[in-house]
Amino acid sequence: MKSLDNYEIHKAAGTYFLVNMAQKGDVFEKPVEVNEFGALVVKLIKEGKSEDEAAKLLADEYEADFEEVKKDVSEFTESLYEKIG
Amino acid sequence: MKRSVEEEIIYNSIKWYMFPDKRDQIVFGAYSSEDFLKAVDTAKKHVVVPFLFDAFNEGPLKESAPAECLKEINDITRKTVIQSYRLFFLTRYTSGLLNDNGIKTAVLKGIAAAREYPKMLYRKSGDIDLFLLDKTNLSDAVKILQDNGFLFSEADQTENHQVVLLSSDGIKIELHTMITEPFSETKVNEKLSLFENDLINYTESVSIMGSEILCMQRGAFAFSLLLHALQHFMRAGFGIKLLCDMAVLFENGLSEKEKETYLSLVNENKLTGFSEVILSVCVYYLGLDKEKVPHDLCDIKMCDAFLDDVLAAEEFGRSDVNRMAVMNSTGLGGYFKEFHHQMKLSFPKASKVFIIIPVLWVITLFRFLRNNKKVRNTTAREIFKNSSERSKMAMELEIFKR
Repeated sequence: MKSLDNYEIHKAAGTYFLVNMAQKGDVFEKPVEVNEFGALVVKLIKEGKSEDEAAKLLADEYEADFEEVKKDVSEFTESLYEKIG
Repeated sequence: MKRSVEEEIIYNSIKWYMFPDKRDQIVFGAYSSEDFLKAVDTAKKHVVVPFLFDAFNEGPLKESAPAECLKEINDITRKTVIQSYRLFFLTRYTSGLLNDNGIKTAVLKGIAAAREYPKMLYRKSGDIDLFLLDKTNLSDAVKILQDNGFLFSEADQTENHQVVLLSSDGIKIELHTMITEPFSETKVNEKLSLFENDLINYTESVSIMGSEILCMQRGAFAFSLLLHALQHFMRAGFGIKLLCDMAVLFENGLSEKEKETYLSLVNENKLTGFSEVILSVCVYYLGLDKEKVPHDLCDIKMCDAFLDDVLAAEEFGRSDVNRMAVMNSTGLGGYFKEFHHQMKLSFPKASKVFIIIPVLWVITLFRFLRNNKKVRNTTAREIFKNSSERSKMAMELEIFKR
């Protein structure tokens, strides 16, 4: 699983972009567009939280069911790591 | 001073984006759907649609703008943001690659201009312009980029003062040995050459998105933008984006030393009239604080006429096939001088051989007439008529005279 250390979340054009700021060379790694939920998940993971910890914090924040949020976080991260390789 | 409603929408939205601290001074009116559609259409032609994003999405136009306008603005802005990332990383990579090999370059326009905006990713660019601080490095620079996968093709080499290479996805990397193409005034070209040779003393490393990139200091950079505007004005014109670049740069403020550099370069090259009209338009229409302008403002009528020309030009004079080079004097002498200049631009080496100059004139004339008919689909007469009108304005601005 690729680390998110080199990635930053930027907000622009009404959306969030996950950008690999360390990319080099001629080949462009296109920023990945994520929604607000995704941006929060990335922020928490970059802060060193596990998926479970991130889900717990988000469930508290949005007063949502932990299991459902955990599932959403898991699906989001799986899809994200697939996109960034 | 009274401009069209679509222009009001564009200028107010641009001010809303460029100068968030002054939003309380911007007065939007009530607009029809047609006004909005026209505004977006004009903004598209001038490549400034992303500058409308904030006013249309988060500002006072949010409720009144038609959904189709919002969708178009949002789609274009999103694409521009992605393209801006592409150009930023490629600029960082290519300038870094050259620097690692001992070749120093300064970024012209592109991210160097974009960094002045509150949201730099909204400024659309299409290619990368790097100025070689030592022009003798040109062939080495080309080789280094080629060795790293960039493509050189003879077909892309259309200008004399730059070499173009292509990235794998077709983005042009232009290596410049001059800030601008030569003008018809020999003395100005000589002075500009001195400035270019000394440009390393006007550079600084600046942090752009967390990376150190070599750019020009603001005074010299402002002058380079002015030259860029002049180069396009003398050809077929330029659009609103270049005015925005100047407005945001001057609003951010030049230090006393940078102002001195700018004024001294402008005065030396006798471009005071041109600088006055550009910065005056920025003050009257784009919200630039007049206190930030380092010289007098010019007459509002002149500004209106100049802005009309900018609007008609669209981005780099693409709008009208009849638009042609502006001349700095009228009559046959003016036409001949410009014709001779165009010949020299087309044949920079051959035109130094005095004896073949008449042949080069004939070839240039043949190309001009052929391009009018086949490429521009217009007549020489129409082109001369348009050129004559624009040349009058150039003379009123006293370009290369004051």
